Amino acid sequence: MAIVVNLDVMLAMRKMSLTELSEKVGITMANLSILKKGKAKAIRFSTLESICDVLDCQPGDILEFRKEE
Amino acid sequence: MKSEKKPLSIKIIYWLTQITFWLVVLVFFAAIAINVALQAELFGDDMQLHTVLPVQVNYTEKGTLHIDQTVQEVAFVEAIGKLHFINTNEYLAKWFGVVLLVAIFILLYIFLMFKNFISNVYRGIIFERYNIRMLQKISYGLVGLWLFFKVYSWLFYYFLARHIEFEHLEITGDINSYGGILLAALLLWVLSHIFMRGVKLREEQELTV
Repeated sequence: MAIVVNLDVMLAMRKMSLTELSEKVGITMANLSILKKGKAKAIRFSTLESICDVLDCQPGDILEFRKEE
Repeated sequence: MKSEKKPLSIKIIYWLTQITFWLVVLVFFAAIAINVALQAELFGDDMQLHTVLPVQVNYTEKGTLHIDQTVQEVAFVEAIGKLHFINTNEYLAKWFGVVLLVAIFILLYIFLMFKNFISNVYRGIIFERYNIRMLQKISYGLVGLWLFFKVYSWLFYYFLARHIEFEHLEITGDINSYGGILLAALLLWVLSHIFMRGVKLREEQELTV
């Protein structure tokens, strides 16, 4: 997939677990897991806003575009 | 999970499909038994084959209609009927037996797919890829049935119907089109594509976080 989700990197940098993020953002573990594994087809602005707020980062820190070869 | 109340129409269609499917299964086994008996020549000389004539016939005798103090001549044309082979020839009976078996086999396949589709809908499984593929399979089955009927009709006309001689009837070359079957297949194929779009939307919605 051309869009890569770097959620695990950000979580590691902030020393935060997925469960903790799930509780703080108010999104189910199942949905966060879909996002982390890169299986999500879309992400709501509200979700992105909440994650960025909790992790104190920019959307670009979580999402990255890589050209497919 | 709270189960949704099923609409009465779905319940009726579900049970009708179940009953019809098992009836078709019974007919299929009956057709196999008939074919075995035909091949083994168990029926003897007293066979009476009754089959649909797949071409239209014209009645050559003219009729009269008295209207407005004049006589209007009329003719009975483009009729569809059945043929009765009196004391049917064994060779002919065997061939018709095979034709019957193939037609019922295709019908059985269509009904099996339809039964599975309706059962899934009854259980609330609608926008799933495998369910929609069943619709596509039904549409391919219908095309197969149409092709089979078309080939059978052409063969029937060229090898049998056009050689039959009647005193007051003439066999036309107008072979049945079975357009209804083809139209149903086309409709299902289009519907399956619409449903497939629904499946994609559902998947997208489920994978949106």
